[in-house]
Formats: sequence, C-alpha cells, structure tokens
Amino acid sequence: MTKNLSYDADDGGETKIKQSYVQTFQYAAANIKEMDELVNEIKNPTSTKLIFQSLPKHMRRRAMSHNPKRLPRKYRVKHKSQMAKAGNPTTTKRPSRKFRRKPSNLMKEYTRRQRKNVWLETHIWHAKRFHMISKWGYKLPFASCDKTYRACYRASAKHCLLQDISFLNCIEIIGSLENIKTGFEKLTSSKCGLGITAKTFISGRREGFVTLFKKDQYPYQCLGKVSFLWKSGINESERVLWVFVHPSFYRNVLKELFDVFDLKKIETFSENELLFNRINEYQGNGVCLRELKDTLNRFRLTGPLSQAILSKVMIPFLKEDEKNKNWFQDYSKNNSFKVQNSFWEEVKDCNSPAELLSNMILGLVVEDFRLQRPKKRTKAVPIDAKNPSFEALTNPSLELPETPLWNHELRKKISENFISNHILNEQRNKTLLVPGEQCLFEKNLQPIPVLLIQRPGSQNNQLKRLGYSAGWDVLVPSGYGLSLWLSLVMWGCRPGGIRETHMVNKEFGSATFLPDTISGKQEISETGEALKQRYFQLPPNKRCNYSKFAISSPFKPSLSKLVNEWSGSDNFYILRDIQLLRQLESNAFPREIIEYHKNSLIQVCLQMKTRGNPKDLAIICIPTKNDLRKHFKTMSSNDPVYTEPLKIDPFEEERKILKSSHKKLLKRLRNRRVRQKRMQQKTSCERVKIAPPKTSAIIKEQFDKMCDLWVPRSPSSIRNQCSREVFGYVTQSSFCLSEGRVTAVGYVTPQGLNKIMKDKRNPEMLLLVRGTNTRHYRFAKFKVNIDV
Amino acid sequence: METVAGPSGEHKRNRNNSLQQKQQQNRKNFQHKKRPATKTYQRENDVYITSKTHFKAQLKQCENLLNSGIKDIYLHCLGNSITRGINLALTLVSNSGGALFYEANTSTIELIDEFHPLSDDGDLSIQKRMNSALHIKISRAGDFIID
Repeated sequence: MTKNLSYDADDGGETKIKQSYVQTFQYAAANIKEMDELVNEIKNPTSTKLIFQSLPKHMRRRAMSHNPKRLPRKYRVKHKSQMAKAGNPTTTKRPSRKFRRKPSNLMKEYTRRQRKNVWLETHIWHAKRFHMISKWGYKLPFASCDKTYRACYRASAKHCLLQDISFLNCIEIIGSLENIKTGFEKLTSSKCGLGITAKTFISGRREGFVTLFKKDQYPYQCLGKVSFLWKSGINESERVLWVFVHPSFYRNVLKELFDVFDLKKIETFSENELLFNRINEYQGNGVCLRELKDTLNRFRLTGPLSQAILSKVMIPFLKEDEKNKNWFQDYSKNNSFKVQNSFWEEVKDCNSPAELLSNMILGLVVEDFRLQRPKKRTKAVPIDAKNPSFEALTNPSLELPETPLWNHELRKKISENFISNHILNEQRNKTLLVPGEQCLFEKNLQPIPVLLIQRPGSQNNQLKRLGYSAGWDVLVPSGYGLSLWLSLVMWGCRPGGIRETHMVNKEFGSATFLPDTISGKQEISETGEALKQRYFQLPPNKRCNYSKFAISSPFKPSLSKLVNEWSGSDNFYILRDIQLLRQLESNAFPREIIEYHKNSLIQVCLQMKTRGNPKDLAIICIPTKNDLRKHFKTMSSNDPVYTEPLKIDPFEEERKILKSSHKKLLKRLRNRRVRQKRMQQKTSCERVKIAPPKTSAIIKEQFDKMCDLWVPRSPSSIRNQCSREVFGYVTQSSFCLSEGRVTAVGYVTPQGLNKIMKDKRNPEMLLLVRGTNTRHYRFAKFKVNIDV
Repeated sequence: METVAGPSGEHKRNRNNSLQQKQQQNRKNFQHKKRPATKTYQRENDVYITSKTHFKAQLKQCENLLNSGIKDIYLHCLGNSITRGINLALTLVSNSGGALFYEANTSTIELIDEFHPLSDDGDLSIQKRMNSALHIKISRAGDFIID
C-alpha cells in the first residue's frame, strides 16, 4: 500500500501525526532535570582536586599554588577563593619599587620607622654601611660592615676616627649661679673632684665633667657621669648651662633635676613640629630648664689628624655683605669674632689637638661645609707645622667660647634656612661655568655657628702614651649634620660606631660604664642574660662545668655579694673620692678607706705579668705565700702560678636522676595519651588522633631546675669559691693594641687591696687572676684609675 | 690662670725656696697633667724614638726607611729616650758596614704641664718645663749614594 507521506497540509499532505509523538516542551521538561544535574556537577565538583590540579599536565607550572599568575586567567579568581578557604595567608602585594621610591612615600615610610627609635641625622648614611642596633631609644650604628676594628684603632692613635654622638642629650639650665650651685650640690659631691660651679669652668672656657647621684644619696645610687659647659658671661643672676647626658640615664637625671629645682612644665611642643623645634620648657625655683634633646649634632673626632681635618673643614666666614641684614652682620662686629678667627688661624696647623689647653671650648662661625670638600677622598695632613705662640697654647682669650649657637631662635632660623642639596645642585646646574669649581652664589650660603670642644686624651704618661685619644668634639645646629659628616669623611676621617667607643675606652684603660651606675647595671644584666642563654643552648657535653672549675658566678660579676662577704653590707659603690684615689695611686693605702668606704669597690687597671687573656668576668684573688715564693723561683717562666684542683660537682648525680625521672615522666604521659586514644578509637568510627602533649610547663620547670643545678642561682660563697681568696672581678679584658699586651679593667674590695699592699712578701703588689673557663691562676700588676 | 716658671736646665740646681714650696703645694692641691711634646717635623724620614717601643722594631723601621731609597733619616729623642736613640744610631751604623754615618745635634725642648685644681676655687695653672733633646741624622756615606 502506497500513501502520500507528505505531512504538510499546504503541500496537500494528508498524513496526520499520530498521538504517540512527544511534545517539545515535554521533551525539554524531561531533560531539564538531567541538565540541571550536569550543570550542578560542573559548578560543584565532588572531586577533592584543587583547580590547578585539574589542569592537564602540559599546562601545569611550578609553584602554581603560590603564584596565581601562573594559572590561566579564567581560573585565577576561583583559585584565590580556594586558597583563602584553605586558610593560607594571602600575601598582600608589595608596592612597586617606583612607587616606594617616590620622595613623599619614602618620607612617610621613614617617619613610620622613626616612631619607635629616634634616628640620628646621619642615619641613612650609616644604615647603608653599618650594623644598626636599637639602643637607649635610638637606632645607632654599632660597627661598620667592613672589618675595621684595627683600622679604627689606628685611626684613633695616628689618624682620625669620627663618631656621631648626637644621641647625647643636651639639657639647658638658665638661672642664677647661686641657685644652680645649690641645686647641683645635692646631686654631686665635692669629694669626687671639681663641682659644676668650679672657678675653672664658670668662665665658660673649658668643658667639665661631673658625676651625678640621686638627691643626697652620695656615694650610693650613682646615675652616671655627665659633661657640661657654661655660657660665658659676667652677669651672675642669669647664667646658662648646657649639660650633656647619656640617653641611658637621661630620664633619671631629668627626674632628679625636677625634684631638686621643683620644676613645672610650662611650654610644650606639638607633635607636628620638626624634631629640632620640639623643646620642652620647665620653670621653677628661679631656674628655667629646657630639654634640647635631638636639637644639636655632636660629632666626635679622635686622633692627631683631627686638627688637620678641622682646619680644612672649618673655614671662618669672612664675607662682608652689606645688603642682607642678618644675625651675622651684628655678630661679625664683635671683638670675639676677630679673636676667634685669629686664634684658629694660629693654632689650626698644630700637629695634635692635645697640644692645646685641655677641654677648651672654641666658637667659630664658618662657611658652609659643603664647599670645603676635596674632589676625591683625601687624607688631610698638617702642612708645615707652625709653632703657635706660648700665649695661645696656655692662656687663650676668654672670648673664644662665645658663640651665637646658644641662641635658640637663631639655631632654629639657621636650621630652617638650610638650603638642601637638591636646590644647591639645581642652582649649580644653572650657573656653573667650569665643572667642579665654586659658583658665585655659593658664597652667599648662610654662615654656620659651630662649637669646638677639645678633648685632651691621655695626660699621664705612666698610664698611657701622652695624647692618646685626644681630639675634638664638634657641635653644629641640626640640619647640618649630614653635610658636615660627609665633608669630614671626604677629608679622611674613618667613621666608627658604638663598638669604637668601647674600643677607645678599652685602649685607654678605662670602662665605658661603671657597674654602680644605671647604664652599667643595665649593661651587666643584658650581657649576663645573653651569656647564660648561649651557655644553656649548648648540649651538656659542650658546656664548661663551672662547679668543677670552682667558679660560682660565670655570667655576671656578682659584685654586691662580694662586697657583702667582705664588709657585711648589701649595697656597694665605686670609690670616687679623688684624694683617697690619689693616695692609692702613689702606693699608700689610706686608713680612711677601710673606715668610711668599706662598702666600696676600687677600679683598677690590670696588666698581665705573663701571657694569657683571662677574658671578661675573671676573678681576682689574693696570692698566698707559696704562690709568691714560686713566682720568684720561676720568674721567666710562662707557666701558671697555680692550678686550681678539679672540684667534685655536687649536683652531677642529682642532675642525672632528674634527667632520667623527667624522661620517664614524659614517657608515662605519652603512654597515657596513647591509651586514651585507643579507648576513643574503639567507640568512634572516624580516625582518632593522639591528644597534644601540653607538657610545656613541665619542660620549662625542668629546664629551670636543670639550670640551677648547672650554675646555682645563689652561690654559697663568692669570696671563698675556690682555694684562693677572691676579692674582685674583671669586667673587661682584651688584647690592648696600644700596649701590645693583655690589659683588663677590674673592681676590687678595699680590704683585699689593703692585704696586698701591706704584704711585705709582695713588693710588686701582684694579684692573681683566673678566667671563668680555666683553672690556671696568673699574676697581674695593677694601677688604680683616678678618673673614674 | 697663672703661669709658673718651671725648673729649666740651668736653674735646676739652685732653685730658690719659695719655688720649692710652691711646687710642693702644687702637688697637694693640684693634679699634675702633661701635654705631649710638639712633633715639629713630620716628614717621612723623621723617626720619633720612644723608650717603650720594642728596640728591634724601631731598628727595623729605620732600616726599612733607609732601604727604601731615602738618603738620610732623622732620629728625634727626648729626655729618657736619648740613650735609646744613641743605641739605635750606633747599632744602625755598625750594622751597615761603613755605608752609614751619623751626625748629632742637641737642643732643648719646651714642654708644657698643666696643674688642674682639686678644689672649686682654684684655677688651672701652667708650668713651662725644659727637657733635653737629641737629633741624630743618619745618612749614607758619599760612595753609597745611588741616584
């Protein structure tokens, strides 16, 4: 049967679609569910794979999970969300270098970093070349990244060492001489040497030093040594005094001054102001006090060439400019200006600053330091030494210390009118004719008042070569720090840091901080803590067993206990009575020391008789009859005088038991946790993990106990810790480059020193010294330090 | 500030009593501090002799200078170090086998001492002191000069 199978009715088809067909919408509806499932499958894959793991092998890249940029772009968002879910910290993008180096952004970053520690003006210069440390609220250069220890010593002895000591904080005190005198009498003692109002200082010709104590507490509670200088002036009712205080005890000194002068705050700065404008002012008891903290730059030049270098950098400003009315117009008409310039002209070619009046102060008004630079770094050497007149060397004019630097408003103006390097260079670009030569406009840069303070160095040839560590301190207004620094470096100064301060003191045979001052105590506890930590980081078999060596306090000098055992008092202080020390120096032991200063310690400078470096924290002992007899028998031998017999460690067994019981305890606790885990596993259908140990408290307690058994915290005795009687401690000991042998600084009790000085068998007055990690005693000679 | 005339070479023996008294008082009330002597010449062939430095090291320093082609060196010795300087010069000359000879010159050097007061009302005083100095020129004998 044939039929026309055309369906279309228009074409004449007659075939009718049967009712068995499926409607489109019905078909779609049926499929929707299936498609939904498919879409759902793609959107929320059930597989645990991460997105970058699902990529085909040829598209995978190394470190894809860390760096989303290695993924195809369409997966990145997904990948980031996956990473965020996983709890991985999303690293924020570091701004581009170009953005970071924009001057405004750079400044913002610098001010942020300065919030915690104050920066010196030369900070950025130093930060590029030095190891920086945070100390006393400042970020300070510690030592050069180059190996320059010996070079710095040579510089201090023969050339010139340069240090930025702007961190010394200046306090300005204004008031009548009488008021200031009575105030400071409470904080100082006339026994320690000259007071703050001594005749030789009040003329303002010389800088002085004074040791401050807590109010009426002398000789205990020493704060530290400060330097000061008076503004020259005849008017006794209004004198001005600058006191330079080390930042480690600056706050304490300020507190004592508030107490003594009954000061109240009257003026304060706003935080937005520039650093050199931030001046706190206090008023009270006829005295006004201003904190000039961080408003002056002080650079220290040490060494004979500092004279030649300053003669190159400090060129007196002589230009007469009638057009511009400024402070210099008035100042240059003063007689002192001419006197200063002629004096500087006369003495600037000296061979060493030590030839001038000791601690003399010289004010100068000089040309901009940036104009005084050699084209290449050059060493300044003295040219044909002219011998200055006897008058200039011994009795310089009283007008020398006068300087406009004392005027706060003027200092502020000078700092504000500082023309930055950028502007200077731009102007040079415009007007320069011959490259490298001076431009005409540079003559019009403002004059700068500076203050030079001489330091005499060694003045006793019995102790140290005359003139060692002599030099100049330079005070300049803020803003000019870096430009002066660079000029000095270009003329051949060797820059140094905090380490070099210690080095110069060490070579000089003195201590930077005394152990009864605030900074000294701080230093001792800091180094003690560091040494202790280092010791207990070592495995037990690499630790020196101090109990076997009969050393009871290996990490810090236990001076208070030592004094306690010799005199029965808990407090101690360093003997500073100049008359008594002078008698001691001339090898006579004054009885007053035993009577009135039995709780004191005397600073001595030790020199080893034979070889060997006892190192820091060595003990100083009294030699016995046999030691001395043996010494005379074997004079030339380098053998130790006596070797301490090895002691039995009383805690060795206890430590062993403690260690094993501790291990057992930990094991038991672990087993307990394992058992608990097994119990839980039985009832649970998931995998149970072992509980965290939570034994940190037990471990810490055990560690403390162990530490105490290694080095007992409170030793039974310091004086009788070993077979020789201990009467002192060495605080710093090292090879001294200026002497060519080992020298040390130590502190001894007067009672012990008396024994040594009275001993007829010991005419050389030898002491026994033993380091912490040796059993050998060696002889050392001593000298009493007067300038403590 | 007062200036005290110190004992100079000639007057050493016949000091008068008042000066002696003054000095004793100085010792009690003042701290005696010394300034280093001026090193007038600092050319590369000037050697300042100290009695503290090792003798061999100083000898070597002088020999090195002479061997480096310098025609003559000057040894400056002051006070205590004069004997050391003479020893050094004689050793150098005798070691040279006739290649070196010496000339000596004496002088008096002015030294400055400071007396720092120990009490607040005292002022710093200065003392001028004389000391003998010896300057030894060591030079090559005529035949040994090489140009």
